Amino acid sequence: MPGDIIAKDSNYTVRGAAIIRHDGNIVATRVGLLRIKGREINVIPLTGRYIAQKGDSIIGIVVDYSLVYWLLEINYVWKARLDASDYLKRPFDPSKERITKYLRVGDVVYAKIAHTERGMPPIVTCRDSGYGKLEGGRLISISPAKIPRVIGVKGSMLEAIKRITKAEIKVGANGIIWVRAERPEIEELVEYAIKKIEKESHLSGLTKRIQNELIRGMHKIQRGEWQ
Amino acid sequence: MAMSLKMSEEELRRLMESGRRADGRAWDELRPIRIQVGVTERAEGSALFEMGRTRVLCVVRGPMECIPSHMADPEKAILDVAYRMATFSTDERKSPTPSRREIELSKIIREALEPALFLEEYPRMMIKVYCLVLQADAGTRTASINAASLALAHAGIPMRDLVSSVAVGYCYGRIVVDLCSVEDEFCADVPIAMMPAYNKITLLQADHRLPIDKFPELLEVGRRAIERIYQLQKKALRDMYVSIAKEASEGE
Amino acid sequence: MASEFLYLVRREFLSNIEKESIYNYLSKGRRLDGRNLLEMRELRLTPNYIEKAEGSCLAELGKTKVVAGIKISIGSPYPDMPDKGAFIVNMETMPVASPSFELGPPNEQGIEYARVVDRAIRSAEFIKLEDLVIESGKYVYLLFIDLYPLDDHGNLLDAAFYAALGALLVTKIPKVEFDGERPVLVREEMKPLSLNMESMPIQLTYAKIMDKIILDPNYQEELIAESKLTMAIAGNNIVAIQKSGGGPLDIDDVLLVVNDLRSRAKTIKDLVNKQIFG
Repeated sequence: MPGDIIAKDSNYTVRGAAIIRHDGNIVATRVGLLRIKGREINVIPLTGRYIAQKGDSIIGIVVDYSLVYWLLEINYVWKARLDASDYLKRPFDPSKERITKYLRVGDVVYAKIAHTERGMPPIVTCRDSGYGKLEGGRLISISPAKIPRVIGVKGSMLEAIKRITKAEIKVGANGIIWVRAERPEIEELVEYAIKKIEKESHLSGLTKRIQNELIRGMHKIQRGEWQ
Repeated sequence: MAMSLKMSEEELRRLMESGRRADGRAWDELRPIRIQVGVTERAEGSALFEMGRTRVLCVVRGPMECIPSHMADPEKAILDVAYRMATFSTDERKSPTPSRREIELSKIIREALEPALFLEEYPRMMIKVYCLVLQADAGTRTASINAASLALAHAGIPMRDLVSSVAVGYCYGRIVVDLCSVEDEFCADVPIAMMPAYNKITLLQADHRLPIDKFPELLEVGRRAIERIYQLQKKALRDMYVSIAKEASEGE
Repeated sequence: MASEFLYLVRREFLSNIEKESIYNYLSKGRRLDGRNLLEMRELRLTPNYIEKAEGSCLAELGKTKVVAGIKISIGSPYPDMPDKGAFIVNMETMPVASPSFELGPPNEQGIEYARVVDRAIRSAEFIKLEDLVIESGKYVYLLFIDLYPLDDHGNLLDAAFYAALGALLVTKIPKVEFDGERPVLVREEMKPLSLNMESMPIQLTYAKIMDKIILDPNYQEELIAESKLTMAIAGNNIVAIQKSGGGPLDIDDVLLVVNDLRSRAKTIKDLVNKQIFG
């Protein structure tokens, strides 16, 4: 909790965005989970707001633009900037082209956080393969704190979902997930599974149960019985 | 429909001199407190705080872009607090236009919360705090501060400590904690807010008359009452997050 | 299968993918949150939510929450209606409920909603204003019905209406005593507000998206609706209509709404009575 004194001396390394040193003590600044590993103290914030970190893959929505870049809403304190030259992977000349030819307000983009700095909007990039505009399918929103569970240990949960449903799935660290499958029923099934993971993430054996649910669901869909 | 306890000054004095409070509580007893963290989904943070029949809903928005932009501070976030009373919160209908009292209290509440927040984490941004008094029965500013602390923590704003607040009073020779409306009307009313872990006072006001040599004792009584409220606030946050915490810890 | 949208705490718009999802589902006669086209969310009323008010009610329509508080004072009647009490409906649009509300006087949406709720109650003659006279031509009871949205998940107008209705059903009028020439309210003695129960208005709001009419739009549907139609009936009469939004409506759309509302009115009336009186 904010104000909780975790340790009375400073011989610890401190990690995470919810903790500070004050007056020789180590104090929490947000509601979070305490993790102590040897001499390292970490407080994992539970208050669910997404905090952008370099390297995060995120899903954003274009909300504004200038001559040479777009601004994306990514469920963060600031909107993220995506440069046209980055998106197009070539130099962009605004006097020759209009940026709205490529992305318009309302478009959904899968991007990676390239750079963040305190007090300033982050910059995102689409240069790597697999990143860029997303079309069709649907968006699902869950608490960013649960995203690691959806991905699973070494990606096992996400792989299982993709394997069984053959759906395309992109997961944003900012709590937004995109799914596109052959049929809307399959998309609904994936959404159902993800919401279930969100609710039951603390129970063991989750991966197995989700796999079973998905297999059962796929059979129902094939028989036309999916609700 | 329940009405506020009404009593004349004379009746109150007689009651208190015979060792009793207007609503039967002990001198250092708080009114029943009910807390709910996370009551609306359209804001980053929210909390409902009730002390007796005083009920305040507080909603936190942000951090967000500073509007108007000329108000932005390149070194830290601006905290914008609005304290407003619903028209039906008082005995007689209150006009929805903000009164001078509401404007003063907005400033006081802001200044009670500022020391607890790491506003330097969000330069050029704004954090908005709205306190809506749904029902007023004395202690609305203290309930607002208590609610606002929880809403800010819920919103994930980094804080040095929670801010806890109570109104302490003095009349007819007695120091009383958490004034009810009758006591508020006739006693010296000293609202106090503190960051309990640091023992620092962030709000202090007084009206009516109070003997100087009673003041240190009054502050100490206030500090102890605030400590109890602080524990209740922490419990409310803990209860809200304990299920999420369990999930996160076992999911690793 | 219910689908919860990505609507970020501060957003007032939908992404293109979300819009298309809504359109796709609608074209198949379904809605993203699993409801049928003409299905309402759950309505829950908590009467006497504010003890200090003479009448009050918290209305929850799905997750949309509005609280109504009724305060009574004494005033002079309208010059052309010396034998009738008066009531005023007001909605405050506090930023508590939605990022689109700002501090200050109610915005145009708040004013429109308050006036529609007022219209439904007034045209239905639900409140017996003639029973609110203290001294003919001089003193009457004034009812202030104040509506405070607390959480906007779509269709604040209907939530506000049912909050006002619930509050009126439990409102008590204080007795009046004369202190010399001046009348004074004696809040210790109250009697129930007299209402024309057979003329209890029932209001519903519909939205048009593409060529489909849906009942009780949620927040996302409201954002992309081309137009909305609110209608209230009492007994055998229509007592209020309000079309809002810039898109056009077909006559068939309007008739569909009239018929749907008519077929639902009794069920909703029963629901309201049950929630208020048990």
